[in-house]
Amino acid sequence: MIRFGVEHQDKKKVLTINGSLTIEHVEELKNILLEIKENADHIIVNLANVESVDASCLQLLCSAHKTYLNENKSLEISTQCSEVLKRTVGNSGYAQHKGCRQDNNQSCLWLRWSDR
Amino acid sequence: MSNLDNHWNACRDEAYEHLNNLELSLLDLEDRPDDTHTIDVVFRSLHSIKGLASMGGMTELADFIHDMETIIDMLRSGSLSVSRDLLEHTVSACDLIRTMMDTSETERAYFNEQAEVILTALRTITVPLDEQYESPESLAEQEKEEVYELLNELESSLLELEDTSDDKETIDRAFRALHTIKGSGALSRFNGLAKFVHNVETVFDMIRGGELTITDRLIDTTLSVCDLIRSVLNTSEDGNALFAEKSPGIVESLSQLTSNGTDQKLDTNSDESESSKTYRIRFRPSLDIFLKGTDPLALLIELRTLGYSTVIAQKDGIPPLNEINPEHCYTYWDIILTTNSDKNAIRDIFIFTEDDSELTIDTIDDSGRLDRDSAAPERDLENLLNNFGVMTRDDFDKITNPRQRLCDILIERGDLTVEDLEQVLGQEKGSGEPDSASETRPINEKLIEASMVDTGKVDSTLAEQQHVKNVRQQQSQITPVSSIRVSSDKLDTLVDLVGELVTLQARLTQMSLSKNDAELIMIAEEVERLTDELRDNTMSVRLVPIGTLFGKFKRLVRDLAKETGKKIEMTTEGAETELDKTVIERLNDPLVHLIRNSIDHGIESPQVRTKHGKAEHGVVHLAAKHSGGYVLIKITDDGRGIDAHAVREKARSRGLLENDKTASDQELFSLILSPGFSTAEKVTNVSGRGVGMDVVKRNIDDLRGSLEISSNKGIGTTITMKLPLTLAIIDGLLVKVGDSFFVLPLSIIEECVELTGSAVNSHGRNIANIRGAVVPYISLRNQFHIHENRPELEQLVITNTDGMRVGFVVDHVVDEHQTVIKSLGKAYQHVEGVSGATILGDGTLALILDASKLIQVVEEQDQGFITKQQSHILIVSS
Repeated sequence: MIRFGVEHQDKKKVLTINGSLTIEHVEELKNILLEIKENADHIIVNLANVESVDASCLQLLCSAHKTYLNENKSLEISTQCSEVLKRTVGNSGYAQHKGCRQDNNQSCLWLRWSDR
Repeated sequence: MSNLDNHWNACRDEAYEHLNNLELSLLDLEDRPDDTHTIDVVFRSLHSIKGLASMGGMTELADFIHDMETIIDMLRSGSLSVSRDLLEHTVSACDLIRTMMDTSETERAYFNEQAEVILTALRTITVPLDEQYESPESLAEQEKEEVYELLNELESSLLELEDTSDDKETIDRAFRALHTIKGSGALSRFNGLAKFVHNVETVFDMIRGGELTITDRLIDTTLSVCDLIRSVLNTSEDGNALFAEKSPGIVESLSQLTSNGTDQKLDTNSDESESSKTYRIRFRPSLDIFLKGTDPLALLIELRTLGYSTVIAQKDGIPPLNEINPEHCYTYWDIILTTNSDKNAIRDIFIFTEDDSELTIDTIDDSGRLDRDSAAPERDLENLLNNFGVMTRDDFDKITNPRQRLCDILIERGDLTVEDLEQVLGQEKGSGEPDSASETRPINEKLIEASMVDTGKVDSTLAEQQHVKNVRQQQSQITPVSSIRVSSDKLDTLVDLVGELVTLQARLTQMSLSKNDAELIMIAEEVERLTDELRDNTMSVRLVPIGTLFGKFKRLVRDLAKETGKKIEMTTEGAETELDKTVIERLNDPLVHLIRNSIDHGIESPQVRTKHGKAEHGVVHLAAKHSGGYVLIKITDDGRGIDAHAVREKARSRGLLENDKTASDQELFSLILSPGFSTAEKVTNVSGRGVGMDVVKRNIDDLRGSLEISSNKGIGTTITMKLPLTLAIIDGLLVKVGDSFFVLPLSIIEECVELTGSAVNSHGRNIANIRGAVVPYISLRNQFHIHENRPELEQLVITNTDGMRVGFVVDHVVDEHQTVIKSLGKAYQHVEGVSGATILGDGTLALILDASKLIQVVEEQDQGFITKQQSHILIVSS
């Protein structure tokens, strides 16, 4: 069970995801992210109420971030995250101290996870 | 002629006289090596020549003679004896001194060289053998000691496991003890012993893994392993034979124990010690792994259960949104795992994905062994300098820590080729003037900039370096570097030296006060403060927790309980209480006696206990606690208690108590401490002959402690020992009789009163009336035959030893005195009533009195006078 919600705040869009963010919904998430990209330069993905996450969705978020960066747009994950997400990012090896080569402005989604 | 020459000429004649004296005395010593007077003459002659040489400006000669003087001083103190070699070298020293004195033109280099030769030869003689080098024997002893300690630890864990068989921590403790015993050098001297212990360790590993459970039989077998190891080490000459004879039975028992639980065979061949290894794992899942229903994250979580891991997701291959198939996996993982498991165990986790995924597992660190196998650092340095010419911080790390080479890790992983690396470094080298900022930049930045590697790969490499560093740090913390093992002889020497210093400091304080020189007093006070600190610290070094001793008794209680068919539980309290090592060592025998008594005479059989409404399990409780400068050790049992009536009857039948006299329980119980006193109806092989308690008392007396017994019939008995924290220094009361000084241990002193005429009983007996109580007394003046004038008013120091109040008559009570105890020389060791001596601040000697012994001596002289008075006291007080 998953619910996606998009709301407009100032000049940014907030994508709120509730439920299980897993392979069953990864295609749907991809389409939403592509769609929002067309209509906003700054996206915040609110994962405060995510109940589970798998590698396919982490990978997709990473892909989205790269895409947004390439188009001079920004995508970030909300500061408030569910415990499950924090734990999964920690276990997955995604959390890191330095972004990839495209990440010139230190906006990588996976930085500073230990501080969250 | 210089001033120095003038000085020397003035001193020379006198120096020759002393030198002649010295040579003659040395010749005398050849005939009478034990003549202390001649040794003193030698020392004084050297000392005088040194002073003259110093005055004459012959500093090198003075220094040499000072060293000689130190060696001769060892003869005076008895720590060295006169030998032919020593005399020969000392005569050579005289020749050298004469040569130097004959002509001041003697080449200094020649003198220094010869002086060094003589001193080196003398030092070889003077340094005790065990200090010259750590002999293989002493090393072996140390190793044995370690194994004994570990065996105690193992036994204590096993006994705890009898009650709490599933306590993981205790199982781990037993396992660790076995593991360390296995690795001890002491075992390597016996064929197959380490392998044998390895088998036992395997059994405990199975317990840890839940494959086996703790049973009584397993504990019995493991205890017999402890016994066997101890016996083998004790009988080093026939150890191999003993091991060969005894071990097969135990191995058979172990095999039977394990065969039911699991199919894991005891390893009888492998000598490989278990240690953790660090693996580098690269897991590149197939593109369609998600579609097959596998989440790689689940595999990573499972991998974490094997040990300490660092996981890095490699995300550089993830395409942008418009290209990505979100159901495909573009991520791969680098994992650094430190684990005791082997590669197969790791592979097992990936077993369902391995066919269409890429999995590589490399060992990158095995507790330092790889380092030793890696290329020599010298070669690395040579290569570096030849190839690159310039050394950066990274290059420096490469040499100083070969496992932390970033480029090597990248090359090993296949993420970077040697050619690419050389190209990056070559470009810099060939770029003309080196840019200093560029040269000092880390190599990882240079590689990323040159697009030779992705940031993810570099991140992963850095994570690997950090992981290995963390593991090594942890391993070095596991190795106990916070403590060192020092031979107790060295500690004894240290305590002796501190004792000397305390004495000397007291002298300095006294002298500074008598001179009334403010500056000197200030220095003396400072020295006093430092000496006090040094003394306290030195004493604390010798303190060890009594728990080491308590642990041993758990085994004793268990064995005795089995032997006597009783159910007994031993509990302890205050195991962390610290006592001087020597006291602890000497406490073993008395405690064994007391515990045996408690079990044999105290604790009843389960049937009897049940009949009396007691729990089937009897309890023997050992407790220790500090009480001022003393430690109280209590041995309590909840057994039948001491039958005061039986003791009274026995005492009367042995003439220790007159028929018409009554005595309190406390007094009666103290009679148990008399030699040969036993109320046991039968003698068992545990106790009952009545030879135990007097031995206990003697041992406790020797430790300057005291013993108190309290008991309630049917409820139990408590024996309390009061022991000094240390044997080296005591708090004493300094008293004076005539011109002689004596020290009485402060612990036994109740009060000091004036011995007035009215207090003295005038019936010709030494009895004082102290506030209505009759106290027998001993006159130290009479006892030590001191004939100087008796003062008009004498002092009475009332002591209480083992419940017996006895006074000692002295001329003056001087002061409390912290006493550094010196043993008496061989000739005086058998003097009864004196336990040692101490040197006072002004150099005067004071004898330390052994009050209970002195009382005993007077008792024998006066045929039980004091005991009779004690009986009298009882009547008076009752």
